[in-house]
Amino acid sequence: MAAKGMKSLGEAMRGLSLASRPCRTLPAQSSPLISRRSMATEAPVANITRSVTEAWQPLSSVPVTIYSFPSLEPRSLEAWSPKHLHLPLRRDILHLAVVYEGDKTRQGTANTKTRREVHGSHKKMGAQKGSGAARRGTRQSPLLRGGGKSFGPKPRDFSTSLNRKVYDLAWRTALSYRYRRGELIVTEDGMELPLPNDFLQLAESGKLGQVLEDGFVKKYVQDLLAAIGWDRSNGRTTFITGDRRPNLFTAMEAADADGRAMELEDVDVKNLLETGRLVIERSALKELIKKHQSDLISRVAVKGIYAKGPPTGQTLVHY
Amino acid sequence: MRNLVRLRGSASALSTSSTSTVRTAATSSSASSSHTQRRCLSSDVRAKKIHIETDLVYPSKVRVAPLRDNITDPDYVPADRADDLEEVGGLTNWWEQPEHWGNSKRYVGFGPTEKVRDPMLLTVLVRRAVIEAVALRKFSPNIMRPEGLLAVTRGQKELLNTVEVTPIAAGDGSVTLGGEKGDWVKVWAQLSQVKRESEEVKKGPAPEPELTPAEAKVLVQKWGSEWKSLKLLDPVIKFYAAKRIQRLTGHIIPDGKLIGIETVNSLIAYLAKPPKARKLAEEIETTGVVANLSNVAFSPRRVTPLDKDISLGRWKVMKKELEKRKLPVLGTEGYQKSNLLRWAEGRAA
Repeated sequence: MAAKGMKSLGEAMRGLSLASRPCRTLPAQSSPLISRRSMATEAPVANITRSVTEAWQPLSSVPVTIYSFPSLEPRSLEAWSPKHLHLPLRRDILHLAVVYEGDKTRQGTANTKTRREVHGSHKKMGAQKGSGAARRGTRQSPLLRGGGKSFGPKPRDFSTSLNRKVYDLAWRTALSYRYRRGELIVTEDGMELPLPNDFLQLAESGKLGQVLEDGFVKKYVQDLLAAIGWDRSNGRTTFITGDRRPNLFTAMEAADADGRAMELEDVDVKNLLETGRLVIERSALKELIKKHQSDLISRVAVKGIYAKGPPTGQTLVHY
Repeated sequence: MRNLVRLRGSASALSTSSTSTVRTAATSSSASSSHTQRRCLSSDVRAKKIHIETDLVYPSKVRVAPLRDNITDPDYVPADRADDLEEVGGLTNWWEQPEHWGNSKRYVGFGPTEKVRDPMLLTVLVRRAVIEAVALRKFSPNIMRPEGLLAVTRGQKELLNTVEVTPIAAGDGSVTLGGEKGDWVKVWAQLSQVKRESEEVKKGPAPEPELTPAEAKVLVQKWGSEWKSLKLLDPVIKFYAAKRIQRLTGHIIPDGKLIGIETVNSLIAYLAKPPKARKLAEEIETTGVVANLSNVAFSPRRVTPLDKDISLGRWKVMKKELEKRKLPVLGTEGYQKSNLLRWAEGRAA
């Protein structure tokens, strides 16, 4: 309290002084000292400011572990640019991208007939006056049953536009979101589901029949996903590969309650945000980043050199 | 298990319905054989009826009734009641029977199936993983194929030999070895022994740790807490440590989380954190917040009128009386409220 008293006294003395100094250096005093409340019961203000001695050091690279599938043994380590896989979450940009994709995929084929398109004669249906009923023109009138539709839907294109750089940023933001949450699993190239030898031999020799073969593959992949913790109760899993892998895709179609497998060209931003996790093979991830970095690269050459953007995946450890 | 076996019959193979089929390529022993060769081999398998070793149990003879459209017999009369048929049922749930499913079909991952959850045990295993990761970081450029080194766990003796080495801080505070002469050699000798192990041991399932939580606690208390403040700065050391931890404990540490782990202590804290409860009820039960409150009762689901009847001991009597009158015990079973009641309530039409 003594220290506080001295401080107040000092403030009062400074307020009285008429030293010649610029206004902006004068202490801001909104109310007279006497009207300020005692600070005895005030909670201490948390030190929310950063210490200036520690400069903020942004990450220069983020690690990406490449796993084997399905054993999930870490096989190699790569360093990726934070601009690719460690962007801050921007919900607004993700929203823009998802709405843009939704608009673009609308079929827009709803169609109704106007009164000019409805079949039939355009003869007046009855006399204008004297029938005791309402006056009626042609039978195509929108007021009548079977008539045309006024202002009805016509086939049209619902797609909206989004700047390419914003859309590309959304792709990498979605991947970064998965990465930060630990829901992006990168596997070695050629991700495929290995089926047991004995089953394949039995299937080939025709001893099982189609029902047993289908049932086996379904149960096999369901057990595998449940053991890893990637199944339905853990939010399903999306597998992304460069092209169609027969075992993996057919198995995931059988066990669709536990996840799905997609080819790279079928994937969009919404798909990246949907299931519990993404399992993507390394080359597919690389291709995906390469296709969606228009805001990082330049199409304008300066002294004959294009800005290439950060490299995609530098190997640190490789087996 | 075989890699890169192709299921033929691409997109439509399983997508349509249960009547579709998975067609498989032949499984020849020579992986390099072409597609046509495989087809030839497949017919060989069929023709020679070679013995296939398997632990799957499948029906030896399945008689499939011909479809109605394929029947040529003019006297055929389709059955209109299932009771007349000799056998009813299919093979849809065949593999759901545990006795039909082979043990070898169980998933074997890089880590143990059951994750290690005990904090003391985790601390010991993290210490081992960090020490080995530091050693491997130093020596791995000198060896040709270091991948197998982090796969083998070996026994308790090796574990204790490794963890008794004390990791120390380097100039920047990061973890290193060399507090005592010969620490590097000692750890590396333990690690490089595994080169002689067979491939099967390396690929096989990880064994359970041969250490009880009580023994681990004694060790952890002996080490103190200074070593836990050592920094993990090198991403390669972190990668090796994470891989080793996955093999020893079954915990997979995602890269996104590994960035934030900067000390040994934060690594242990991340692993020892119990998994998040899936339901609020589970969390309340584990934390036990209501257990100490005498005037609060807790139920993991909605308290129904039936629960109240059971708690009062009234339900037994009600059930007995309902059964005596041959009325449904639970639910209404299609009975509606009487019209008299509706009139009395003034709701009758």
